[in-house]
Amino acid sequence: MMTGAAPPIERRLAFVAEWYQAEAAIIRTFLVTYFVADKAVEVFDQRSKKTFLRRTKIPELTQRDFFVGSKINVFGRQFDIVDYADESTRSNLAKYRKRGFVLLKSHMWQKHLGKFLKTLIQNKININNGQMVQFTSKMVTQFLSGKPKTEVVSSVLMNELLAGPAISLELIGDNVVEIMSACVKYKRGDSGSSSSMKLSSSLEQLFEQEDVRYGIYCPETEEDVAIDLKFFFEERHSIIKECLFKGTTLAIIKPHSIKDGLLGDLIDDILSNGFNVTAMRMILMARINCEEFYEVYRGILPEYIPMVAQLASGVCMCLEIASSDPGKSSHSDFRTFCGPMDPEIAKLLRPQTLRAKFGKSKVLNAIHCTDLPDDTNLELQYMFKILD
Amino acid sequence: METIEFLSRTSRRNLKSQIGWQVAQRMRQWSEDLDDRRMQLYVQLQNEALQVDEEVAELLRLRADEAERQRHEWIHMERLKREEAEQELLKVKQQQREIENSEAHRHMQIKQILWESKQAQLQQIEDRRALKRRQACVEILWQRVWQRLDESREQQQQYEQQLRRLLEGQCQTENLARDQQQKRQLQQQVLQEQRECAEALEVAAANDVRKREMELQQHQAKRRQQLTDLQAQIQQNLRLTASQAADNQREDVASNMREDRQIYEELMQKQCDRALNRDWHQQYMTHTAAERAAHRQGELERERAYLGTGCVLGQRPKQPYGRAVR
Repeated sequence: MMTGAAPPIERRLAFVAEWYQAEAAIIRTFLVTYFVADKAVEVFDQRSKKTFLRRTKIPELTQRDFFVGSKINVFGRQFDIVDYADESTRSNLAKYRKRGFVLLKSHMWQKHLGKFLKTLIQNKININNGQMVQFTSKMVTQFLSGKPKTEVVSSVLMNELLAGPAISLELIGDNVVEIMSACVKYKRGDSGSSSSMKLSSSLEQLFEQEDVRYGIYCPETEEDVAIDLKFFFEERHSIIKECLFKGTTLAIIKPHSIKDGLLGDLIDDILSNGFNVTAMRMILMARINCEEFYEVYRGILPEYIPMVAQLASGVCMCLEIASSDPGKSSHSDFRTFCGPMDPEIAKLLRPQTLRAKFGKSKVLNAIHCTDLPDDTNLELQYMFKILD
Repeated sequence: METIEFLSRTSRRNLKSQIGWQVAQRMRQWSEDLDDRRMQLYVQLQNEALQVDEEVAELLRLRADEAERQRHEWIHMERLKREEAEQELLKVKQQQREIENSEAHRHMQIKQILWESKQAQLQQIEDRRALKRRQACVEILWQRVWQRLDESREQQQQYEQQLRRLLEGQCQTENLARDQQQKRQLQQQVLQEQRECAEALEVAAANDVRKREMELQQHQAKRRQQLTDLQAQIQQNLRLTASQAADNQREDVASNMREDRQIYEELMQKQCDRALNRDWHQQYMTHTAAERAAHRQGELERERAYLGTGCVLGQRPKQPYGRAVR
């Protein structure tokens, strides 16, 4: 009866979302409806059959944030979208917005991570989640146990994974599974499916290089994707790579840069300017955690509140940065590399810095870096240890 | 202080307070640490802001200096250029003046001017001639056009005329015959009308005479009639007045007699009434006397009948009492 009252033209997306109530330690299910026309969100409590949040405009959310598997932040409350709530949304989105998984081996990402991310984003494949992982032999066997690979491939893969830290990424995009498997098979010529899938020129250019082609692992079917995603991002295997906590500093790529698709450019810039990434994870921070994290800035910077709002507005990427030259202080080096807080000043004084290139305003300045030298370990610990 | 040691010495309640105190102390430490960090951050940011400020100021100053320098340079260059141009101009002017001053040059110049003016005149004459020729051409052209127009018009008229004549020739005889006949008819008609007119005039004249006679006769007859009518009227009037006078007299007599009779009758009536009244009165008086006598007789008899019985006969009836009565 409600659908009859609503105007027929209005496009809306309906999802089933879950919210973990920490006090009661229960997961509650909600119906989240997104109205495309006015960017409004409505939340309906399915258990009490009452509207939890009436139709409210939330301009920082876009249509691209809504897909199964995404985490959205509505007034500081994190909803995990787990399913479509109606058939029209399913038929609209399920066809296109698929989840994919890719694992970048250690020798590949250290050279090509930035370019790889850039190319994916260019081809409208979003990075939804990611972390740097360090396998133990037990973990590798567990990971490879369900794989229908031949022995040789498995053992090679096992050795490669044990050789160094790998990066696992959750991808979201149209037909992402097919695209990624076609990329892996590009130029191998052993399968007929590669000819059916036409790759874009930028992808072709990237996968022209052999070490990129052999440096990634991706599952070929959607079921495998689901299994791998579950293994890496849902089950707690504590395989995330530990931070060094020694001569390193923290960098957070802010949500607005990720939403604008600058992730690849930023990482490329960081890696090509004499810095190494020693740990990485992508998280959606709750507002309260952001406030806690930025506690030092309260009363010091007038932009404290918008800074918190920006950090809580979406997924951010936390990186542990180490200078490739062990003689230098990575903290001060990286801080200099990021540039002044205000991108306008940065553009004027240090046009080569990250904030000058990618920042927009004092709040949307693309990247956060630890300001106090004593705080590096504290912030790293907060991001990689305390938050979970 | 170790917990075991503490437990051995004190009660549980104090342990709790001890833990609370420790927590509070830790919190205090943490907030102090936070304040300290904040202070450090503030100082660092302040220093950096100052440094950045200084750099920006320096940069701006450099830019301004650079701009000023460039401006100065430009002005200098401009001035140099202008001076050079002036020099050049002066030189050229000088040369020109020198050339102009020399006699040969002047002569040549005059010659040149003369030659040019001659050329111009010639050119003008030529132009004018060409113009005239052109005008003549145009006039001729116009003449031709007009001529052509006239010719075509004449031709057209001629053609029309021919056409008209042709049409006329075909039906001329017919028209003539019809015309003759019409004329004849018209003449006859006119004659007829004239004749009728004359007759009618004659008749009218005769009628006029007759009418005048008739009118005269009528007038006379009318006069006569009026006279006789008048005489008859007078006679009748006389008759009428006579008869009326007789009637009046008769009526007067009759009315006198009637009045006398009425008066007599009224007197008679009065006398009769009086006699009748007197009779009735006498009768009444006698009757009342008899009645009174009878009543007195009746009373006497009743008194006599009740005499000695002790009955009160002449009792007054009981009167009602009350304020209204009083």
